[in-house]
Amino acid sequence: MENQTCSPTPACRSCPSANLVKLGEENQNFDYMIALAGNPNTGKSTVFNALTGLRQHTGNWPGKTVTRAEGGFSFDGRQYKIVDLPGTYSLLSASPDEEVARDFILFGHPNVTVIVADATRLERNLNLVLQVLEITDKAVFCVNLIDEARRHGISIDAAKLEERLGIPVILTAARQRKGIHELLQAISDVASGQRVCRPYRLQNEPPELKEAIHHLVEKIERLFPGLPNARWVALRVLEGDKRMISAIQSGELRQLYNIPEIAGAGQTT
Amino acid sequence: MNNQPITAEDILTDAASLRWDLGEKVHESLMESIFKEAASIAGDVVSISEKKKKTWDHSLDWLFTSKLTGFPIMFGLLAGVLWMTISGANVPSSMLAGLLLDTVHPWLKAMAGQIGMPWWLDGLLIDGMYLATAWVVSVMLPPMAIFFPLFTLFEDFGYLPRVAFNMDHLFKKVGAHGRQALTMSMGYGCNAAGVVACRIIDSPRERLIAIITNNFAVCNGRWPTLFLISSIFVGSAVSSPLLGSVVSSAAVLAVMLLGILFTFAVSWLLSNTMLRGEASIYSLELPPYRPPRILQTLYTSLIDRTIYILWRAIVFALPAGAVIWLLCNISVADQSLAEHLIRILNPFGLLIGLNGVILLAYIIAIPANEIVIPTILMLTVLTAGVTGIGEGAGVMFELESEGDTAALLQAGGWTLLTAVNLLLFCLLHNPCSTTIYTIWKETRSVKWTALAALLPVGIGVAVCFFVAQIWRLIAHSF
Amino acid sequence: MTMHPGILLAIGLGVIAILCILFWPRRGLVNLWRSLHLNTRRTRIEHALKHMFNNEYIQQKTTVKSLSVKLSISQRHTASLLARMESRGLVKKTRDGYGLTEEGNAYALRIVRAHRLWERYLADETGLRGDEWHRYAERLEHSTSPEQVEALADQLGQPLYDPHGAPIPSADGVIGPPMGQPATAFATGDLIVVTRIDKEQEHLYSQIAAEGIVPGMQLRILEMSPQRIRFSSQQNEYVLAPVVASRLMAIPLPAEKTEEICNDTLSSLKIGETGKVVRFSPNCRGAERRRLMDLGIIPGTLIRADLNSPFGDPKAYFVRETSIALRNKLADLIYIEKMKGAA
Repeated sequence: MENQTCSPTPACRSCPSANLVKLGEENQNFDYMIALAGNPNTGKSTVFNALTGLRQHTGNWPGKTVTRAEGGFSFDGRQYKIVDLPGTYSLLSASPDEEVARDFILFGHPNVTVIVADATRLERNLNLVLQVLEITDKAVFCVNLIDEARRHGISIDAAKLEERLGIPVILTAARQRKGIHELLQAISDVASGQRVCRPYRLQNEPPELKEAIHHLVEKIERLFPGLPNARWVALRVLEGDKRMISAIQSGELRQLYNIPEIAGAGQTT
Repeated sequence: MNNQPITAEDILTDAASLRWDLGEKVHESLMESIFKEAASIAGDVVSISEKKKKTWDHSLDWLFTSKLTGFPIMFGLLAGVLWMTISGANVPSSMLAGLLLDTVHPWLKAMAGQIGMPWWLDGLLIDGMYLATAWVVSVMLPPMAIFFPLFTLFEDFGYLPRVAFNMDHLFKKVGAHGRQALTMSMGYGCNAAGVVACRIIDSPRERLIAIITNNFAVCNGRWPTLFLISSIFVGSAVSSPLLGSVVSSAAVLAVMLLGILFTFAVSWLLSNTMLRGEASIYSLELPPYRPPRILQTLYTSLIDRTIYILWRAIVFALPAGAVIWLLCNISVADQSLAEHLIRILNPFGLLIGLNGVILLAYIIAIPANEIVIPTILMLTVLTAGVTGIGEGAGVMFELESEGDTAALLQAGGWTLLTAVNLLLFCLLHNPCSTTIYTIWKETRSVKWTALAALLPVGIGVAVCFFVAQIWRLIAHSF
Repeated sequence: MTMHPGILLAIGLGVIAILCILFWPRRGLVNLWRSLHLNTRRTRIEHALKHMFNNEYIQQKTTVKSLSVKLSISQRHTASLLARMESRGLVKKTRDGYGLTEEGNAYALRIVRAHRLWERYLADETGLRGDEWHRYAERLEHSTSPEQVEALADQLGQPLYDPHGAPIPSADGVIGPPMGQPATAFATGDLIVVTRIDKEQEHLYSQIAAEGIVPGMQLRILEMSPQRIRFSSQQNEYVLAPVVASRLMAIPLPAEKTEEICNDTLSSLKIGETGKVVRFSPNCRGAERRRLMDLGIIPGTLIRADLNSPFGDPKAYFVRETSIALRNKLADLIYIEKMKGAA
């Protein structure tokens, strides 16, 4: 693996960044795992290809990537494994695609989740972003197709968006390989913990739901002190998600976040 | 804080009772509030300065979907793509054939002779496996390398969803999805690619219908057969050569239209019988138009579709070449296996207005429709006892002139009925093995794969049977 | 060929006719033979348990007569069936009929759970019509193992109600209380929400199902007389005999929901007009409803009719910066409020 990082492969010459080495599919050892989530038809596969140097077919269609694709790259001397999740509009329903994406972001425990969105349809895409931020607080928001947005006269205030969402926001045009270096830098910052995210959490649920969530969150936090996404856990249990229920019963949640066995013994940070 | 210990069971019992209190609206009200918050954030950070480009998109949409211009543009483009594929592939196809069949093949034979390879090994490897594969490559590669990039350009541009939008009403009537129009068009290039393309149909029932009926789109491996047979039999039934070419083109067109008719009929039948219970949902996003990136498109469509399909075809053609050669060269009781099989199949073949040679050719040429005609010619020489044509048992060939081909086939006992039924059977037979394998990969179901393979051949046999009987009945009474 | 083509033609047609007789959907011989085999002793016992369970749920008694009507077998056969069930410890004699033992109740709950989950599945995840769910579930419930039932419940996200509004018993046998009262208990002019349609008497149920009334529907009572009850919903008017309407359970429409009564559907928007989504029809369910929400079509969303296809169906709508084509049949199930002027 070591010598691979240094050899100037043909792919390297076209890299957007001198210290990016694309490792294609042969990537067994890695330092960080990245999950790539996003709505269908947002250029998610293009971003994936730009990062890994693989050439998945991309088309102007929703739902081109059907199976989960994996790849790898190396940046700043670190090895990354990247998993392209199926494109979904949401993470809350029972469809198989959403289940795969949802379970991977939580139980696959990626170091960073990159959410790709279409800049021309930010509002619709934010729906998914808000849901991902309920699950994980290590996320990077990649607003793709920014070139197209400009052509349509749409401009996006990245700084303000970053402030609202509490995670790094990178504007990219993956087809032109613009912004890929910045995206890599942000991924690396979040993965290494140099940058700590304070993700936006939902506030406006209907009162009866809010109350129910509050009630459960209180109990869940007592059982799993320090769990970063107790609200999400509560929501999933309320929706009857079997995977989540069994994760609570078996204590899988505890292992995922390294929570010590003794319940109620105070907060761990 | 309350320090009383808590268990997982407590949480779950609480959750269960809360679920009953909240009722089934949780999901909806949650989605509602998420969208509300998303809208408020987006409102804060997005500003739209001018809307010039929007109107451009809109006028394109109007052009592509209006009553007046929608269909003419659509059929014009499809015809254009097909024409470019057929006429554009001629030259590279014959160049490839010249290289692989007329130059490399004799050279390989000479090499084999020099190193003293036994005749059977040389025959099996070079005349069997190599020749079949080379044939498939030279016929298949050029049209696919033209058709798929063109198609992919339209896909990248965003035109194809508009086609699905225009055609949906027709497909809805038979219980199918508008996007089936696209998978069908893809099928004209290659059925295996058409079946893969069915992934874009996101409703389970409609997707299965599109997969099973894709075979009724005549793929480019079958076009040469249609053109050849209709020109030497149907076209020549008319006295003037000019009229003849019109009639033979009309015959090819009729077969294609018949294929469309069968697509609709079988879709209707399936959606009302076997697939009645499958879920069906319809929505279609019309993405904004994007300027296509020509080079990237050429690259990915070559890699993803052309090479991929070609590779699969080669994998299946190699063993088929060996089987063809072996059948013709293993003799039992003074006759080759092929001749025995033809004798067994012949009565049934004649019953449905074909013959044993055609049936055997379709059975052993299952890996690729491209080698059906060469196999038929070779088997005809073998059984009709014609001498001086061809290159020996198990070696496929094609003849330069259509007249010679016609003469050879007539010596094999072919009539106009045989030709007409061959045209029908060319449309209505099992998909090639590459496609069957692809169907299995896409559906992961033996049941649907078997249905997709057997249904067309069943229909084909029935149609040929009835055409033959009616034809003979009419011939009797005159 | 020696045989005359006319004879061959006749043989060919004959073969096709025979295949049709054998394999015709539902009425073909193969299907008939199959359904004959379903009517075994065990399925009969299970149907009897279900009937008794439903009666106890609404506090009615089960008699030999009611059971024999339900199973459509003679009273003599019914009596011997009950005797057999009694010897297996599933039922016990009570003062005025038969009741379930604890074991019988648990058994019945399992079957009811399987039945209602299957109905939910058939309604949400398949394309079968409303009148077919019950019929298919009646068959499937007997051949589903407890593990399969749980897997089904997981797949469906542990639903609470079946598509007819009846609560689904939980895996450990807890079942929610009945909701609503018979529609006949309301008065002219009342606004009601259908909560459940009682299926115990199938001929009455099928009349309601044929009218297309489903739980969740908001109805206004236009007329209430001993002869007939007349309701109206957004688009339709329904007339039911009181005996039929008594199978329709409902609650009064909550006050905060009265503004949801509106008459326009998405499909009624003309190109260029804008509307605001108010709610979905209860007939839009399962995967279809999920899809709409995924696309961002939820109550409160502004939506503009954008583009007509050459045949007028589907139409493209502009929702949250995206153009989405929907068929008119689905757009009929989305209630909107028309907005004045273009948004």
